[in-house]
Amino acid sequence: MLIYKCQKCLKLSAKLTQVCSDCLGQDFDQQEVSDEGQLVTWTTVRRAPAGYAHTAPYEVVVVDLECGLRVTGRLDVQSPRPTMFAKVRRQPVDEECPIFSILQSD
Amino acid sequence: MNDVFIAGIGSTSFGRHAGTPIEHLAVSAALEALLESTIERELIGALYLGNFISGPLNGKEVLAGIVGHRLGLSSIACTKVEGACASGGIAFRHACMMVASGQADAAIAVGVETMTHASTKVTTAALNCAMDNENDGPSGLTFPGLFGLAWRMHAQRYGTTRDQVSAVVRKNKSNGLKNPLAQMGADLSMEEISSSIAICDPIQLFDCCPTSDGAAAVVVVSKAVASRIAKHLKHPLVQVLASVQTSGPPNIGAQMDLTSFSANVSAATKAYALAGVGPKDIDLVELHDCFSIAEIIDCEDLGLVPRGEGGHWALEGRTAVGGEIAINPSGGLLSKGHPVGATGIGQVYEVTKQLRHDHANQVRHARIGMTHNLGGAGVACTVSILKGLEAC
Repeated sequence: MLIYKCQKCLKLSAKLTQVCSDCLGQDFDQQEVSDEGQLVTWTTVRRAPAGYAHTAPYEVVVVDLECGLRVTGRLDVQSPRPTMFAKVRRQPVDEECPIFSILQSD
Repeated sequence: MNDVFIAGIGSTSFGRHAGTPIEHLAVSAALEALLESTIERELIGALYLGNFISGPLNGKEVLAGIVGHRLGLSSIACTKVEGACASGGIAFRHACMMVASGQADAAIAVGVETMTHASTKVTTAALNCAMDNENDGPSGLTFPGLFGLAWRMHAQRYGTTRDQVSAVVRKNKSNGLKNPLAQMGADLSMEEISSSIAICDPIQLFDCCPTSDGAAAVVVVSKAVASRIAKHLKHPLVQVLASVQTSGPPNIGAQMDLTSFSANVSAATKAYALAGVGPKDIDLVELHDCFSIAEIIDCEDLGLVPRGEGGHWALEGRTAVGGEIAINPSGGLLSKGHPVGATGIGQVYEVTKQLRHDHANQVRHARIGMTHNLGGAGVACTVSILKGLEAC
């Protein structure tokens, strides 16, 4: 997956921002990083906000990517049930929200 | 900085005030605080109003100016402040700063929200504005969901159990039964709590605070004014030893530890240093239990309970009135209710009553109390430390 790296201090960010919050640098490079990471925690949203109700219940996950970035996303509906610290991979779909799938359960 | 004292407090009940316009609630609380303080209205140099979503829910803005005008305070600076669920705490701190800096002899902080008239759909959408919607919003996360994420992590790291978290709910619901201002006190069994509807696993219905209408207000004054009015007051003065505001990351990705909010820790550290007291000096705290697990995280962040032991302490009754540290004797947000903008000032109201030894659920010999108000996903936090005075 594509992330952004500050040219000045090399801080990584999941989304392109105007300015690096660490060094105030304004130039970023795109960088391809591994789609894999570790599940940190998750919740099953049963009462969803407007616009999401038709997809409930769904799992919102927090994932630490191998590059060190922490992101929030969704668990793929086809994925096995989540377990703590399970290995996950981001699905190759171009969504605003990253969709992850469990690779293996310990 | 100059000393700051609480001279008057006022509050409506928290709950349902169907048909009452939002500014009426604010004016009721403010008038009560003003009259109780006995000061001349002309001494008030500033009004700060804490409110989160009067625009989307009530179609009303410039609420600070409207409330000021109704109270005949229209020529002074009337300012609405917003920091999601911490809006009330922020308003209180700003009123204190006006007096501490010597810019005013007295100031009033008012907090208000009316939410129960709106549909759950509309209210949820408005509350979700407190999220970093560029980063966390697209996943369909809600605030109960955020605390579901935090709970699972806390349980993983510290072994926190459903029963321990239920003990927080049981205590706060029970405390609410004794508070005449509380929205939904109840005597709940552990089974009733653990079998309530699932909202965002592991968060269930009784783990969530209700939506509420309500207002609260506080009048703060300088030492000179406090000395002058002390003999007229029907109650002891309460001194504001510290009132601190901090910020934390607005989104989950920037928080490397979801079992703690960095804004909580920094606010508590600063407040203790300013007040010259430590966690062991705190007799009671009104803290931001928007969800049951939040009370466990917050009391650990504030240093009142050792890290990871918040659940144990709740289950062992050590955070009940009469325990080592009374947490949320008012019933907290879970039971007293959470009219968002009013909550932080409602906490100051409750702690002031405790320090005057005039609370319906009194903590014996309470001398020093704390309030803790948290907004968004930990983006804004206020902590205040108050001390009861025998005489000024």
